[in-house]
Amino acid sequence: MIQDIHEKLVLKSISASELVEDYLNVIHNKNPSLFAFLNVMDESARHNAKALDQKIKKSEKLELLEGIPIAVKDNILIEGEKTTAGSKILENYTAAYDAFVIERLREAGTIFIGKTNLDEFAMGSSTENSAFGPTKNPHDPERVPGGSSGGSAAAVAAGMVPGALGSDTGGSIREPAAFCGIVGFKPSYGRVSRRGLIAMASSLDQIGTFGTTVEDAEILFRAIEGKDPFDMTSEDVRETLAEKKEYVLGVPDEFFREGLDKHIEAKIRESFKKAEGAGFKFEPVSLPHASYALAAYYIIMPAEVSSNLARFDGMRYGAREERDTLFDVYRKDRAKGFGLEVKRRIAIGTYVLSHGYYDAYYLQAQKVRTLIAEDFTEAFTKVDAIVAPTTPTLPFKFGEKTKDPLSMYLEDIYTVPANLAGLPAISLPLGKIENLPAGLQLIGKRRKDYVLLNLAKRYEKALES
Amino acid sequence: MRVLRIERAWCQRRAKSETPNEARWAMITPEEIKKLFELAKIEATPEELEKFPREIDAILAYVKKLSDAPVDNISPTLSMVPDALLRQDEARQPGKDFIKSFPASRKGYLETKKVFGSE
Repeated sequence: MIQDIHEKLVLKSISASELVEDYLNVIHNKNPSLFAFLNVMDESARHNAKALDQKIKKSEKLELLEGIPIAVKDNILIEGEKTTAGSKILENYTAAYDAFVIERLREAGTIFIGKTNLDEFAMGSSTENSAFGPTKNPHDPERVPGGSSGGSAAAVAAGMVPGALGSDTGGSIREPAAFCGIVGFKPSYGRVSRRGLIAMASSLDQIGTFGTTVEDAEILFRAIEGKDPFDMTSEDVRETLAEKKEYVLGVPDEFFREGLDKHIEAKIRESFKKAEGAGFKFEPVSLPHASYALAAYYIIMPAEVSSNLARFDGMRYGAREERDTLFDVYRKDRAKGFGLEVKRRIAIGTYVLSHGYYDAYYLQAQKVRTLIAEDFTEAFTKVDAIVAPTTPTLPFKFGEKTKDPLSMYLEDIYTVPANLAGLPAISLPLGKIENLPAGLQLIGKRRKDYVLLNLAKRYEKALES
Repeated sequence: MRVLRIERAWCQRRAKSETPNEARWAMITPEEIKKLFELAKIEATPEELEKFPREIDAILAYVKKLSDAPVDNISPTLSMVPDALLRQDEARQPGKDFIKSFPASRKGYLETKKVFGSE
């Protein structure tokens, strides 16, 4: 789609201003009911489109992303724009600088059209944890769009924007992509700088992209990947790309057991048949420690959350109210500013990091993380990528899982392993089951993001047949 | 921050007094939840104190499955980029917007309550 829009701009069959106006119309038409956007940047989007039209008028060369409207998850900083991370504690915070990915996209000429809704500090799988209200699934407004990047996914699925940025700590790009019937790509850990992404769990957080096609998700990824001197975990990777005649996909039995919706399983297996005729071969593989992944995740992630969120102390952001002591500022502002899920995770994180529990929980989880990464390394000696469901269920109804936090956590069971092992993973739309979208996940080798994207493009094509 | 460290040390001493087996995979009590909120500098509501022990217990019961993972001689993975080095800090002048976000400021500085003598 991005390529098509680009060609229209080059051929001058549409102006950048008309393009932005078209998307703003869709946004203002649909946002009151969907609530995908927390903040629509009408003014700056119009201004930037106008400036670009001057350039087009002079028939200067137009780069691929110039004039393409993009939505940005509201935990990624855009200078001068409100950035809330879906939390009351940042309700009045205005970003003082651009995130690395925003700098890159700005240079590439994209037009930022708005900031999208999310679960508070990206903690959740449904956007029901947003302090400002949930986003609705464009395919069924009674159901969740997935989360935490639910606003970005819903915006792309509803045609409010051709592409969007999200972040994925345990599945927060892939799960909403599956629930909204679009493509969501989480790159290898370290492939995209996290500078300017409000941190949740730093050893797992990764910025990634949404599009209606793999090609669009890749175009955006290409613009944002690479080394940033201000994120010491980011790296430049050179990949050698060679199109294979046949790709071997590993099917881990552990991902197709009890707990997986039977209809989703049938749909995935149906897709194998299509793919077999299109240059794919399927082999059984084993990931024997995958069953520990979610448990390890729910120790490591809250531990990092409790450290990262210590910075929200009521001092530098938010509205100061009259308090007696410094500690009252901390206690009361954090109590008022954080929602239940955030508090729950801070409490768990504080608990597992306590001395006496540290070895049993935190250290044990980090060792299990090693086992999980080794399982993948072993599997990848035999296969090019692993195929799995993205989610165990179809999009669920509002309120269905909010009463039982553990049932919500289980939504991430198939997505978390890729985060723990730092692997690239992509969710592709499988089509609908009784009017609701389902997703299939491809997990690739570490630092082989373009290899995975190439393979995913072929799979996507096979699905269309 | 200093007080936080003292409290952490207090917690460490307390945990040490428990036998290791009791400490491993012990279930959480309402008193512990209260203490965790104090350590995390969050004032807990009565509703949270009632609800959280049950919810967090269920989550801890789930993660307990890790205790039988075969981890002998396995080293922990803290990050997938283990050789990431820290860069030198460099002082830079923040933009005006940075100060604008402060809820209270004086002459361009962040204003806080007194640290010493306030508690």
